[in-house]
Amino acid sequence: MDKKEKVLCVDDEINILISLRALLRSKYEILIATSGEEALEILRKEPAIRVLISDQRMPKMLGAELLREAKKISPGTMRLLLTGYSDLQSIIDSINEGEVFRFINKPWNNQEIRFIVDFAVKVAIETEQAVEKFTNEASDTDPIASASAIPASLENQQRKPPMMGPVDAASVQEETSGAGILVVDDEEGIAVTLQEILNDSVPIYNARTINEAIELLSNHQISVIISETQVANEDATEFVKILKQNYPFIITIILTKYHSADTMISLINQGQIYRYSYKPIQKNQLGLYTRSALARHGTNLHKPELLKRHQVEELKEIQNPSLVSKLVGRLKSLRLKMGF
Amino acid sequence: MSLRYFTNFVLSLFMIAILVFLYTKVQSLNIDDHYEITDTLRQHSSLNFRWNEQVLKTKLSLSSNYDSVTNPLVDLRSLQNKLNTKLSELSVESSSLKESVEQYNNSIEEKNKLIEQFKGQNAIFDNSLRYISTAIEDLVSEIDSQSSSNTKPNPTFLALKSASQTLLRELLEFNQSAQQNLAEPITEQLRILESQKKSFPDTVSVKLDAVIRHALVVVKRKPEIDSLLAKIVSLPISTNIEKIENAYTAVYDSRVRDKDFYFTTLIAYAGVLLALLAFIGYRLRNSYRQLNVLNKQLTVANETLEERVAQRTEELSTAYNELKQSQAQLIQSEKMASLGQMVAGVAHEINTPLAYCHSNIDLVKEQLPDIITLFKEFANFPNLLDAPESEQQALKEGLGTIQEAMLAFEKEGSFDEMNLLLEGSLSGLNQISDMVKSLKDFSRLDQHKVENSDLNKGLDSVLVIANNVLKNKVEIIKDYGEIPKISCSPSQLNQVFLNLIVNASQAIEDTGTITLRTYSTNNFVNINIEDTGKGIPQDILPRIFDPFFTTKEIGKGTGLGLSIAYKIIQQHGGTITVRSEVNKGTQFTVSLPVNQKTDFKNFEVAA
Repeated sequence: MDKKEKVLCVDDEINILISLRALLRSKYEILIATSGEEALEILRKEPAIRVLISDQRMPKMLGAELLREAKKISPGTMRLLLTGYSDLQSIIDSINEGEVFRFINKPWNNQEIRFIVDFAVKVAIETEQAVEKFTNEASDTDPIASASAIPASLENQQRKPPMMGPVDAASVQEETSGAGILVVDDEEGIAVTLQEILNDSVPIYNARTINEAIELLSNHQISVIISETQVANEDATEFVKILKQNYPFIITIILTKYHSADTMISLINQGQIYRYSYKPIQKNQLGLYTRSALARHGTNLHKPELLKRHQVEELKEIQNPSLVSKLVGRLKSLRLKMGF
Repeated sequence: MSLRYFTNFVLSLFMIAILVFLYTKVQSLNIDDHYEITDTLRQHSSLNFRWNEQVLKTKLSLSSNYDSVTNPLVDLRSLQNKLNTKLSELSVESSSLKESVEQYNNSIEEKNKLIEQFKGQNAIFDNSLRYISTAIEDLVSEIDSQSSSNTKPNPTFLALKSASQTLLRELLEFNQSAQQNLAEPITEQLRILESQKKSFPDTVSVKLDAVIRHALVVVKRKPEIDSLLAKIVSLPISTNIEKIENAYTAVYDSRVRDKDFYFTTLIAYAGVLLALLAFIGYRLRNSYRQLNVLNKQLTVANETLEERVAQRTEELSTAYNELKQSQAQLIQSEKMASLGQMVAGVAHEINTPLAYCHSNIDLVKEQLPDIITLFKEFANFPNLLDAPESEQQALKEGLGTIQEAMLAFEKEGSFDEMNLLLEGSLSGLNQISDMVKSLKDFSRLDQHKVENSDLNKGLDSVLVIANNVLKNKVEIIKDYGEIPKISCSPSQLNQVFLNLIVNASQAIEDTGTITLRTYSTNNFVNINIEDTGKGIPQDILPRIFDPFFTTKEIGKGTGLGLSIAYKIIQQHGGTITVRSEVNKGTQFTVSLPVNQKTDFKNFEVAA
């Protein structure tokens, strides 16, 4: 029998751990921990833990916090979060700081959880080398963390410049030169503010409607999209998801005034959004996220294998099929432009 | 204002006084008096004439007695009095009038005196005049008798006879005439007769003497009487009357002039007054018009005021209703907020056991086909055992199938694990049912007022509900005493306790403890909730029970939680007190009477 891949389950409720173990035991070696600290201990000791499944609400250390720490200790481990009732902030933290791969809603569907874990393990194995190589290449001790997990707070930013990563600033500039940022928002102020923040170093395009966004995408090189969830009374999340599915190189930042846990969860699971920010704009945070997103785009161009770590679920229900066909129709020219 | 009225009053009085004065001045000239006076004066003069006439008549012996002479005097006297009275009534200071009246009076007196004299003179004269004819007749008859006795006519006798007859005739003539020269011959003749007298017999001479005496009286008195008469007639009575009349007329004229002046003045004044009145009337009319307008406006305003009052009242009641409604909405939203908190907590609490129960049962169900296969193979195995030897192979195969099924089953799980999963599910279901029971205890929707409510149990159910908030950060220390059951509205009290406990946990910034203490004192049940949170500053401590007072961000709290709690406890006849120290913690104490007679009907208002 092959050696089983390791999966770490963390929950303060032992019955959940029993269930998860019974569910996944046949395929994987299940490690369990009843607190965040315990889980981090295991992560430090045990190599090659492919997947971390954590509950969000735990005493002392919350799931989002554990994910953030886990990312530093074991960058190769795919991070999944169990959520039942969670407040919005913990979900936002999981996205921005924990770079969660999937949210799993409680109560879960056994088949679904198996599928997600299988997928995560597969991605972890496939990208193991890339991550390692990446780690080796980078002088930084914590490659993925520095490349991807840009600390949200300003203090952290000052401590650790976000532009610096496995790919140095120069190369980032080189890679992204020409590629611009597309702001999808019916509010004009966003693009202006962004221009101020970035000192016009990157071309910025402003789309007030989805159609305008598609038009701009087919005519310009776009590396980062900063999008609202609602644009001119249209749902922009589907656009973001379809785009990510068909063009994984584009990094998405959501900047919205509408908050819904369900939307955020679906944006992660199906759209792999890079960051989630809410209005009114916090300039520092937006600047940080944007620069970080530009850097991530560069890294992805550099190491396309890493893109697998951001693969999305298939959209089960497409609410706006014409949007898909329109987007897919444009895809070819888009790919050409982006060098595919 | 009063001064103005006073001034107006005095002014009006003054004007009326002027009017009255002018009127009396105009009225003072009595035209009747005037006519009476002039009439009297006329009567005077006519009477005077009549009097003179009478005097003359008397002189001519046309009147038999003196009454006709004296009577006018009586009339004149009364007239005189009348005139004097009237004139004095006039009260006019006119010297000419007075003088003329005096003159007149004097002349009347003079006349009277003269008339008296005349009367006296005339009586003697008249008597002599009457007697002279008789005396002459006697003489004549004596002469005749003397003559007859002497058969021979005596010439002297005859001469005497004719002389006496001539004398009579001359005397009568003298009497009738006013000529003085006629007296001379008569006196001459009388002297002759006197000288002749002695020549006649005694009888005749006596007679003759009588004739001479009387004749002499007549001759002597006649001029005196005539002069008296002349004096009487010449008395200036008419003139004086005329003078009076003139003086009076002058007075009257001046009075008429005065009257005319006053009359004119009166008219002018009346005109002025009329103008003034007209002006006042105009002013009054204007004032009335304005008053009318104002009155109309007032009436309209009054009507509209009522309308407006009604409108305002309606607006106010609408506003009040809206306020009440919004208050009710706020209370409702507070209720919904605590309900939402509760539901969210419970949802999470239920979600976890639900998640693993679901997963476990699903897993067991997944394993069930393997077990069923195994069971079927085992059930089929005796048949295989009973089969002929040729079926050995089948037996072997059957055994193999069983082994395979067992392996498959073991690969997926084990009976121990299945047991564990089912046990886990059972405990999860128990957890869920406990939760539901707590929910029921918490809300007590089935009964509003409860007789014997155990507040310790109530607190436990609240802790289950609040667990979601408390878990991970707050340690609960229960220090329950033995407390009597009380009659209360458990769902409302639980709402209060949940509010206090959630507040306590929110006051704890990192981690801390909440101590729940219950104890009874003097028919009171006390619930003490103490936290180790940040505490409440002294300056806001008195306001924490005020409605809408909140230290939370706008939109995060209604500020009604504690005010509703306060009301609920108040309606239970209890008290809620707070003690707090910044950075040490806060302690709320709820005291509820064991036997309280509060009517729970009104509880809907607060709850």
